[in-house]
Amino acid sequence: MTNSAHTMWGRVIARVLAGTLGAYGTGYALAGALAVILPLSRVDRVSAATGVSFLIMAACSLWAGCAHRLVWVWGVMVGVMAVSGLVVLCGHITP
Amino acid sequence: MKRPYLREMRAFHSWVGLFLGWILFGVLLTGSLAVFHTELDQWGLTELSFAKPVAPEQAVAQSVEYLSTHAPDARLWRITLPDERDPYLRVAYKTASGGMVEAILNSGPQPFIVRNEQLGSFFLLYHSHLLLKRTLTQIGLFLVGVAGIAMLCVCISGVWSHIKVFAEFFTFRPGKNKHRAWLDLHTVLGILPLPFHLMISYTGLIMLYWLYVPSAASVIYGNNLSTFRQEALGTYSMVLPAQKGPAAPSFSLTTLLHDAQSHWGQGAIAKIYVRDPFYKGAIVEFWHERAHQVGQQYARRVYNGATGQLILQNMPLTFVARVQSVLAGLHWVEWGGPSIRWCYALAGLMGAGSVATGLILYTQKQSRAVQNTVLVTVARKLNVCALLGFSCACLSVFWAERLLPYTWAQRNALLPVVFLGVWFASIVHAFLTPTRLGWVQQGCLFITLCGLLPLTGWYRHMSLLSACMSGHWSVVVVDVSALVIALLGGVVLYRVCGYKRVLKV
Repeated sequence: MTNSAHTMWGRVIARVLAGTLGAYGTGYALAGALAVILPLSRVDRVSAATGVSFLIMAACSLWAGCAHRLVWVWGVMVGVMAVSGLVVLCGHITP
Repeated sequence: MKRPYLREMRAFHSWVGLFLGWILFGVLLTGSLAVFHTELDQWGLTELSFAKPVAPEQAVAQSVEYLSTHAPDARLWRITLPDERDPYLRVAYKTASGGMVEAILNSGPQPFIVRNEQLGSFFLLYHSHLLLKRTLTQIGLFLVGVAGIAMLCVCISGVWSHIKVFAEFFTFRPGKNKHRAWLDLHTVLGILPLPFHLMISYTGLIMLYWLYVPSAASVIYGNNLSTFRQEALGTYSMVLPAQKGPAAPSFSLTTLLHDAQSHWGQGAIAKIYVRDPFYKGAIVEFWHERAHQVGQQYARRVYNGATGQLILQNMPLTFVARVQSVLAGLHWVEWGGPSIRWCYALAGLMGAGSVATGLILYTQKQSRAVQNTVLVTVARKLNVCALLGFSCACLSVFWAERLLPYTWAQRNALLPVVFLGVWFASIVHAFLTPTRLGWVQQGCLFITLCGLLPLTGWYRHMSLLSACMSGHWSVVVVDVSALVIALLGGVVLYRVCGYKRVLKV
């Protein structure tokens, strides 16, 4: 394969990974964070957070599939995952 | 004004539609069939054609007698009382391995018939987790969930990628060139039920939200997910303690039934669950019928099974729980009666049609561009077996349900074998024959299986005519629908392939 073919396949794989694993990871992490911060009863927090996370996942997949610059997509997704992780951690530490 | 991301959205629509379309078609088709799961069961259960609905008290006594004899040590009993839609008394119990064994109690000459999977539940199982069992069930559920999210994205990207939005939505030009006709059909089938497609894909995810994204439940409940399920679903009987309590005589189920009926009225109880019968920790749950409500959550009355004391009644639902219940109920469609179920089935079939035309469009477009790559060739073959082969496999289950003797012990295990066998044969056939010949031959097989399906009734002494005479409307509707589909299939095959072309291949 030529260099350009390698680059093309690399981009395709990065896009597919962003649209699948990246989107799921973002939704997964965000659901955990929302479950910590939403001002609802504990069982409602789980339902509401997960319900919202599905929409976020779909939006992330769509964005990853269409974005001109994939680096922005990955940047935002990793950022959301990191912040969500911190929120969950703080939620566990706070008595 | 040029719409941004038009080219990217089109590419996204094509690729995601291509790779997940093969799964989505099956999920949508079986979902449309599963809407009528009770009616399909009745179509298959011709041996119970003379079953008469019995009074709840008699039904409970009959069920307790059967379950006490056949499953005294089971940790969970389920009794589904007969109603207008489903006149059969169904009982089930949980085996030591965790599976449920279901039996239908009959007042006729054969007192009971044990069946785990029937026609309706077969399609339900494919729709929910692609028939994958035991450890693979999670993978099946996950794949269907991925297909659901993909459907949401594909719907949005499909709408976005049309330039003349409203002009193109309602245009169908079958007389134009073939590509344009397929594209118009794809657009019409996708857009007319668009709100349904968006709703059904999202509500499908919401139904099993804790399985698809378990992070929120894990963060709040840790490893104690059974507590979450008890709080979220309000079920006592489903949450089994690790050990049974000491043995204790059971309180009379009929007395508890009378108490529940005095609050809800006669005929309002749909299901009864009994956890750990004949033990101190026994729990009896009565579930109110939900044919007159959209929400999926059953109203419940929970009793201590040993003392008869009321533990819980009508668990109050919070706003979020009610929203979740309504969204799940919208997907489960136990409400609204036959008219709503027909609307769901037709909209689902339109969705399946939209996916099928989309898959055909992809290969046509590539053929026009003369790009006969390996992917396009494989896609052409897969289209044949994923669309027509899958439909033939579904029909073969109908045939097996009628032709396999219902007294066979292995009958339940044979339905998936028949389904997968026919599907595998269609895959082999599609890859061994030229594509056009594959379409024509599998199309002819589909039409034959559909058109001759009512004849299987003769074998079970329930022909279309006798079903009409005896008022067995489930049998009549399924048989007539099969004839109509065969007719429509014949017209489509003739229009698409043409008489001369069919002969030529």
